[in-house]
Amino acid sequence: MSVQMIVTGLGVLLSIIYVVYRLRKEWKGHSAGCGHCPLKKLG
Amino acid sequence: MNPAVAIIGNPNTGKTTVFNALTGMRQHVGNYPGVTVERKTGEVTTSVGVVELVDLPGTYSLSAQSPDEMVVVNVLRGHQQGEYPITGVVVVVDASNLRRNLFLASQVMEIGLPMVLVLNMTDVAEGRGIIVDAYELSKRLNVPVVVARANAGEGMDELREVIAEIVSGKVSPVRAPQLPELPPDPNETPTSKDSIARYQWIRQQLQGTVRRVAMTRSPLSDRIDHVLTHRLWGTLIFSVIMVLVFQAIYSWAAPLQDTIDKAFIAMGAWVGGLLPEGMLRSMVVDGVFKGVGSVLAFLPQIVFLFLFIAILEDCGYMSRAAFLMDKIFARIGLSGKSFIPMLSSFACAVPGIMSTRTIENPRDRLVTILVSPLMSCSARLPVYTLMIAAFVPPVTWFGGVVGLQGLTLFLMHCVGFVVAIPVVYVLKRTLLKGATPPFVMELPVYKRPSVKTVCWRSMDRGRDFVKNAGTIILALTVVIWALSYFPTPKDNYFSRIGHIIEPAVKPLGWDWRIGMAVVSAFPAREVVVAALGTTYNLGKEVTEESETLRQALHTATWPDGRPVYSLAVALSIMVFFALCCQCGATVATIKRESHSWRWAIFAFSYMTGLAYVAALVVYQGALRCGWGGAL
Repeated sequence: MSVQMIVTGLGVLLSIIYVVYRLRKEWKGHSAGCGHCPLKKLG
Repeated sequence: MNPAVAIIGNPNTGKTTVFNALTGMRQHVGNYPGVTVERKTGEVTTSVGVVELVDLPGTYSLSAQSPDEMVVVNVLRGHQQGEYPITGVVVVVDASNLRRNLFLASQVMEIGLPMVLVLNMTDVAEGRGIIVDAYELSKRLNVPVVVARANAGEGMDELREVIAEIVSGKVSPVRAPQLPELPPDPNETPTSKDSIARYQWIRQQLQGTVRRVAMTRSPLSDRIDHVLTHRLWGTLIFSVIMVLVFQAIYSWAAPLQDTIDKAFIAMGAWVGGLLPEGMLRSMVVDGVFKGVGSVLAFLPQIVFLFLFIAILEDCGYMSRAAFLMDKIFARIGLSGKSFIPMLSSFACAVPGIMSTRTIENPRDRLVTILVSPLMSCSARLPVYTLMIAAFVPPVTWFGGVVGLQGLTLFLMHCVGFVVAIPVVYVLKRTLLKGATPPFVMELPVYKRPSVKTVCWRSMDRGRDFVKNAGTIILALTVVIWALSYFPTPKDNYFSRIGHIIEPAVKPLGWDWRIGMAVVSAFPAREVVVAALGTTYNLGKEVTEESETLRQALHTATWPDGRPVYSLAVALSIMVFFALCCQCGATVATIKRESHSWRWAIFAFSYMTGLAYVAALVVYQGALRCGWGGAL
């Protein structure tokens, strides 16, 4: 397995984890995470 | 633990300006546990040390009818979970409207904490010929009175000193006002009797403390309002202002947008040159630079939009706009209280929905929650500007002041509002029946917008946009890139799923790429731009002369060689985005605020269905008008 494949795989994996984390966080209401929201600092 | 002092006042008294002037940037924003009421605290440095200042929600009374008022009462009485015990209270009052403002002050006095009255906006009062004898008022109420003009920073040092005296115990707890005894009247409820007695007491306090100087002309603010709140002229002026704002966003932001766009292409080409051919290079260039770069290019539009909104809000004009719209909403069964959350939703639906907590009637609150996401939030702006810039001709009139592109952007912002009217009408007559509640609206006086406030607000929103692009949009773009690259770039998962959904989106004039970009934008709307940027550029040679996303849309074709995009397709995409509920945060907020999944699912379903039907009607209608050809 080349270094390219490992770095790309890691990038995709981290992205998936981050997307799931953000969606979960928004769902639970800890963050109004649309990014335009002044209430994003909540909790 | 630092001693804590609460700051309270009616809306539009400059309470937040006083809070900001005292605390500067040392602020913390949070939520009160169990309720969605914002908790804001800041630190004030005084001669006796640091004092925690708790900014309570603006309220007219302590009658505890809405969640906001309940929190205020609980904090002041020391019953609010998670709040510091309050040592004293700063009551901010509008010197030009003391009679109404002292109603809340009289209720705060009954709590029996040490208190200071901040006589704010004295310049406005003087402009209206109202002179307040602060010394006499202080003697009568038996509380310290600080004369202030918070927007100019006047009176803040004195207020700091009084706060220091309060926390060091030098100010005695205030005595409850001696309300006059009223003769028994069977027609009066205890609440109305209390209000009458309180206003009688206020009149007694103000006799001899407030003097009115005869003015030769009515105040300038009133004269302007005669025009700006006029049913015909006011609406016309509002429309002209909005068209000019959107045109300015277009004209001023376009050169900056092009610069950012080209900078990302150049950076992509440079980074691409450093990396060897392969999947990593494709991910960095096609995913990160093309995807996120396409979204970040809209930063100037976002900053300009919020700059104009902040100017209009800060000078007091937005309240006039709300007043004008209140007349329309009253006819269909909602009061102005519902319009204010809708106005906030033009920036973002999440705080808009949360601000419906000021509406006491649960049915009206729910109707407002359900229609607020229809207002065009700033996340829709990149989609509108991309489509308009690519497919609406740059025709201008009146020497370039008004243009077709700016006008189209204005009309797109009107779509959600116009559709909300029949939605409210139907909801108020079917699922959520109820009478129109009365609403009295206060119009703050006009003032010169503070440069600091306006710049701070627009920069803050700009920073949020960049942060968002660098986090969730970046992550989603990488996921979209991976779906578009594997198992092979020619036959990838993204196109396989896209071809499955294509029959559903084809009646709207969309190819599978648009369909998939729209589907991927359900967690966050801006992702559509990133997804289009990635899918239309994947596999193409990247140089500094590479085409921008706008150019890529023009050259996109169906398999038979026909161009995908036309004015009809652009309009169909924009209308879909204007009405669709593509925001995970909004759906989650509806669920939280309505305490029910049912309403969150209902809002998502009706908006998505409405968006599909409207996009279909617009596309088919545009085809009939002959707007289906290549541009």
